[in-house]
Amino acid sequence: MGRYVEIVIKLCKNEIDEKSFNCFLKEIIAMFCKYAEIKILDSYAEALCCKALDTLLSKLEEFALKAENDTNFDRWFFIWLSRTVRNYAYKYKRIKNQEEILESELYRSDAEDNAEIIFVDKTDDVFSKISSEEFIQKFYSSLDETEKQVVKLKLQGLKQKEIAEKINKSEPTVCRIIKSITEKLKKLLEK
Amino acid sequence: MNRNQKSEKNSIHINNLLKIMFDEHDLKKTKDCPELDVLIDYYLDILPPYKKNKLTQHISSCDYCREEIELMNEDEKFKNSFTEQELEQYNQIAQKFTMEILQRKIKHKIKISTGKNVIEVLKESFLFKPIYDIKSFMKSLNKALPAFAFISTKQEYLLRQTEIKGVKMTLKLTLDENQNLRVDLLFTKDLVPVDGVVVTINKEQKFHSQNGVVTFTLTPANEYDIEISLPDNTSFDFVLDVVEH
Repeated sequence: MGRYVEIVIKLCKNEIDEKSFNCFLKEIIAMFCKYAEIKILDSYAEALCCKALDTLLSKLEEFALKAENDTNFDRWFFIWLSRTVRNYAYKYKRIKNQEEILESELYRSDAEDNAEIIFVDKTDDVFSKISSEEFIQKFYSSLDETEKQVVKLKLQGLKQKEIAEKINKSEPTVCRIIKSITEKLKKLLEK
Repeated sequence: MNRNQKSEKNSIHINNLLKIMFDEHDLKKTKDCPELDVLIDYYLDILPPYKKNKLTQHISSCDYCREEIELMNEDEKFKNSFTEQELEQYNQIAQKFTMEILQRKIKHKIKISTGKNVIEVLKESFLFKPIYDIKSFMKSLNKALPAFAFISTKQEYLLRQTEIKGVKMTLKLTLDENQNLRVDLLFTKDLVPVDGVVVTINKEQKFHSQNGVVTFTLTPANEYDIEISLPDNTSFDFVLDVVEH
C-alpha cells in the first residue's frame, strides 16, 4: 500500500495515529515553505497553510474512495497536494511582495481625478478584505469580459497605450474601462 | 466627498491591489479548462482515449493548462526530497496544527427517528472515532465506570470516542422515552474517571463531571454548541446538530 493511500484512508476513517499525522503535516509545512521561499511560518503563512490542509480535509471522503480503487493514487495525490499547497504558498508570496510596495506607496494625495487611485481610511482593512478568496471572486465576477481582459493585461505590466493596442480600443476607452474597474473595486471595498 | 476630506485618506494604486488579488497564471484559466483532478489524470495518462484526445486539443491552445502540466512535472521532482532533518524543524508548528485541528469546531449531525429508536450520525467528524470493537471497549469501560457502560439490549445507542491530551472522552448517545437525545460523556485517564471537566452547552448551561461523567438531554431539531474544558484548561468544542427524522 502506498504511503499516501494509507494516510488518506486512515485519516478518513479517523484511525490515523498522532505520529503519522504529525509527519504528514511536517511534509505539508515543508512543501509550503519551499514554494513560498521562507524558512519559518509567520502567522499569515500559518493561516494559509491551514487553509491548504482544510482543502484536503474537505475532500477526504472523495479521496479515500479514490485511494481504495485507483492504483495510481499515491502519485496522483502527491501532485494534487503539491498543487494545492503551491497555490496557497504563491498567494503568500504575492501578498508579501506587494505588502512592501503598498506601504512604500501610501501617501496622502490630492490626485482625486486619477482613475487608477483608490482612497481608503484604513489600509489594514483593505488588505484583509482583498486577501479573501470570497472578495476576489465577487470582484472578478462583477467585471465584464473586456474589463477582465484589461485586468490581465495590467497584471502583465502593460501601460494604457499598450493595452489599447492589444484590445483594439482607443486610449480614452481603456482609461474609462480602468476607471470602471477601479469604481467597482472601490464600491466593494466600501461595503 | 470634497477634496479636503479625500486628501486625508490614504491612496492606493489599483495595480498594487490587483497584484495582491490575482495570480497571473490563474487568470489565464478559461471556462473550458478542466478541473484539477481531470488535469492530473491527463498528466498521469489515465484518461480514457476520447477524453484524452479532447483535452489534448484544448491544451494545445490553452496557456493555463499547459503551464499547469509543466508545474506538475516540476512538483514531481520534489517527491520524497525532504530529509528527516529538514522536516524536524517543523515539528513544533506541526504539533500546534494537530491540536488546532483537533480543537476546531466539528459538526456532528445526529438524526433521530421518532417512530423507532434510531440514532444515525449523518456526518462523521475528525474528532470522534467510531468504536469498532465494542466488546473489548465495553470491557475496558466496565473497569472505568460500569454504570456508564450499561446499555440495555433493547435500546439503540451510538458510541464515539476521542482522546485529547491523554484524556479519553467517550460519547454515548441514546434516545429517551420522549424521543429526546440523551448525551452521556465519560472522561477517563488510564481507565480512571476524570473530574474537574466542565461542559458548556450553547455558552449557557454548565455541567461539571461527577465520577468522570456528564449527562444532559438535547431536544431534536436544534443545533448545540458543546464546549469542553479539561482540568488542565485545554478546551475544545464541537457542534451537535440534532435532526429529527
